[in-house]
Amino acid sequence: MKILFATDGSEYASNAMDFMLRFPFPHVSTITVLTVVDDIPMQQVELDALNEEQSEALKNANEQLHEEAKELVELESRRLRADNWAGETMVRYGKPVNEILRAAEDIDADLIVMGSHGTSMVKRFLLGSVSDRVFEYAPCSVLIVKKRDEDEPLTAIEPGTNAAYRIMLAFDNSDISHEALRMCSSLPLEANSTIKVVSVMPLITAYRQDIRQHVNSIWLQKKKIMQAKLDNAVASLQWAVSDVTTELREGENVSDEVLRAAEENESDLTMIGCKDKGIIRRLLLGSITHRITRYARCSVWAVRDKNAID
Amino acid sequence: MNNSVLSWIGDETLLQGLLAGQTTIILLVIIVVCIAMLSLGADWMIDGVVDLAERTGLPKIVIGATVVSLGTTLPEAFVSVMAAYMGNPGLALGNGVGSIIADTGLIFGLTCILAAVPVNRFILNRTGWVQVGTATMLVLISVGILLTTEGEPQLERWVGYLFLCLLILYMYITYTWAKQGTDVLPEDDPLEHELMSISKSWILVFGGLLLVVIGARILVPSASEIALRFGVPEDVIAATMVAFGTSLPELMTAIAAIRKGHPEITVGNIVGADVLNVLFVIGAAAVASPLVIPMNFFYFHFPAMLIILYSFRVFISMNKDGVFHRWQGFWLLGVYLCYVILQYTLNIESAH
Repeated sequence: MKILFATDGSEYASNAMDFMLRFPFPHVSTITVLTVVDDIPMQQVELDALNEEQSEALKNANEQLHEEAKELVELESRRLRADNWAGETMVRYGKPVNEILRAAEDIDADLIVMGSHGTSMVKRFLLGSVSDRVFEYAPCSVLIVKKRDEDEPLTAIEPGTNAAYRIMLAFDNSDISHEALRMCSSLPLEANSTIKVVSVMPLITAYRQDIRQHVNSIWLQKKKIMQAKLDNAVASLQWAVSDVTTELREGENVSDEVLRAAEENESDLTMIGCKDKGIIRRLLLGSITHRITRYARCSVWAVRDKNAID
Repeated sequence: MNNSVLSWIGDETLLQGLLAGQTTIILLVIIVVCIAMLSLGADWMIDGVVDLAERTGLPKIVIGATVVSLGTTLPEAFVSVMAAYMGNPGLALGNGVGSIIADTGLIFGLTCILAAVPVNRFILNRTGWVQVGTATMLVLISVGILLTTEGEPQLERWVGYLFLCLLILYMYITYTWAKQGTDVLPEDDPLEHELMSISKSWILVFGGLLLVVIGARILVPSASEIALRFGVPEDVIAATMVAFGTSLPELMTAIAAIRKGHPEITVGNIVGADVLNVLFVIGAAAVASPLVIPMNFFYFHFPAMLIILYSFRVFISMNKDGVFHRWQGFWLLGVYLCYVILQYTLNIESAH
C-alpha cells in the first residue's frame, strides 16, 4: 500500500504521524512524507512596489520557509525510519490542497493520511478547509486522523507497539462498502481488536411516519434482509479478529446515526466507503461520508475505489 | 450540523427531542395550542379565499381546488417524496391513495352530513371528471404493470414524469376554465361587506396555510408521544393519528368552511386534493424512486378508492337540485368506515 502522509508541522499532523506509526497497515506499505510550502502571499503590484532591501528580505523569508519545510519532512522521515518504515520525502511548492492532490496522483497513492483538529466551527473555518477539500477531491482513499479530545495532551507513544483498536465500519451493502470491508479484513490487526459493522436504515420522522414504518411489513422485511446481508458480510472479518459484532440501526439522518454509533462504540477509527454522488444529489442530501469525516470525533478512513475513479 | 437543504427541511430530530423531554401536561398544552393554530389558520384561509373570490370573480370552489388544495396536500407530498427518496417507497403510494380515501370518504362525507353543500355543476362536471379520471388512470396503469411484468409490480419513473406533466396541464386547464367560468358564472354571493385589499387576502390565505401545515406538523408528534406514553400500541397509532396526520389540514379547512358557511370551498379542496394526491404526491414520489405496489392495493385499497370516487361522481350527476344530500354524506362516510373496519378485521396492511 502506498501511503502519502501530508504534514504541516502542526500538533495535529504530529498526532497523525503517531497514529500512523502505531496503526497496523499492511506490511508492504511505503510512506511518502509530503509538506507543501506556500510562498508568502503577495500581489504583483505589491512586489513591484518593494525596494531592493525589502525584496531581499522577502526572498530570505521565503527561503527560510523552504528550509524549514525540508527540515520538517526530514525529521518526520527519521521517525519513520527509526520505526523501520520504508519511505521517501517530498517538498512541494504551491497551494496545499492542489499540491497534495497532485502528489497523490504522481506517486499513485492508495491512501492519503492527514491530521485534523476537532470539530469546532471557528477552527474549521480558519484551518479545516485543507483536509476537507483533500478529502472531497482525492483520487484515492483518505484517512483523517483526529485527536479524540481537544484537551488530551499529546503523549509520546512507543512506536512499533501495535495497540488493540476499536474499529467501526459503516456498511450499506454497496460495492464500495464491500471494498471497505475487504480493506478492513486485510489489516493485520491485533487479535484483541474489535470490529463493529453498523448499518443504518433511514426512517421518515416527519409527521411521525416512523411509527407507520415500524409496523409496515415491507419495512420489516427489508430490515430482515439487511440484517442477513450484515451477517453475511462480517463472516469475512471473523478470521482476522474474533470480536466482530453487527448492529442494525434506524434513524432519520444516516450520517448522524453513524456518528452516534461511533460515539457509543468509543471507536478509535471509523471506516466507510465513499460514494461520489452527483452534484445535485450531494447538494440536496449532502454526502454522508463527508459529514461523517467532518464531524466524527474519532479518526475516519474513507475508502474509495481507485480503479472506479479512473 | 446539517449542511444540506433536504435534511434541514426534513430534520425533525430537534422537534421530537424537544417534545420527548416534556411532561404530559405540557404536551397537552402544546396539543391545545396546535389545535388553536390549525383552527385559526383555517379561518384565515377561508376568509382570504372568500375575499379573493369576491374580488377576482373566481368561484370559491376553483380557489379551493387550486391554491388551498396545493397547500393542504403539501404534507402528503413532502412525506411521500422524502419516503421515496430515502428508500421507503412503500409509504409513498399508501400516502397518496390513503389520503384520497380519507379526504373523500371521511372529510367530504362529514361535510355533507353537517352542511348543505352546493353542487357547482359547471365546475364539478369538469374537475370532477379529472378527479375520477386521474385515480382511474393510476389504477389502470398499475393493473397494466401487474399484468405485463413478472415479479413485483412497481410504478416506474416514467409514470411519475407522466403524472407531473399532467399536473402542469391540469393547472393550466383549471386556469383557463376558471377564466371562462368568471364570464359565465354569477357571483357566489352578493357583496355583503367591505372588501380587503388583494394583498391582504393573499396574506390571509398563505399565512393561514402556513399555520395549518405547521400546526399539523407539531400536533402529530405531540399526540403520538402522549399515546405512546399511555401504552397505545404502535400499530394502532400508525393507523389512526399518524395516518390521519397529513390529512389534518384538509379536515381543519373543511371545519372552518362549514362554520363560516362556505362549504363549496371544501368541495373544491377535496376534488383538488384528490387530483393532486395522484398527480403531485404519487407523481413526485415515483420520480424520486420507483414505487412498489403491494398486492393488497389491487384487491383492497384501489377498489375502495374507486368505489368512493365513483359514488362522488354519481352524486354530482344525480343532484339536479344543486346540493349534495345528507344521505350521500352518510354513504361516503359509511364506505370509509367499512374500509377501515375491514382493514382491521381482515388484517390488511394499512395503505395510509
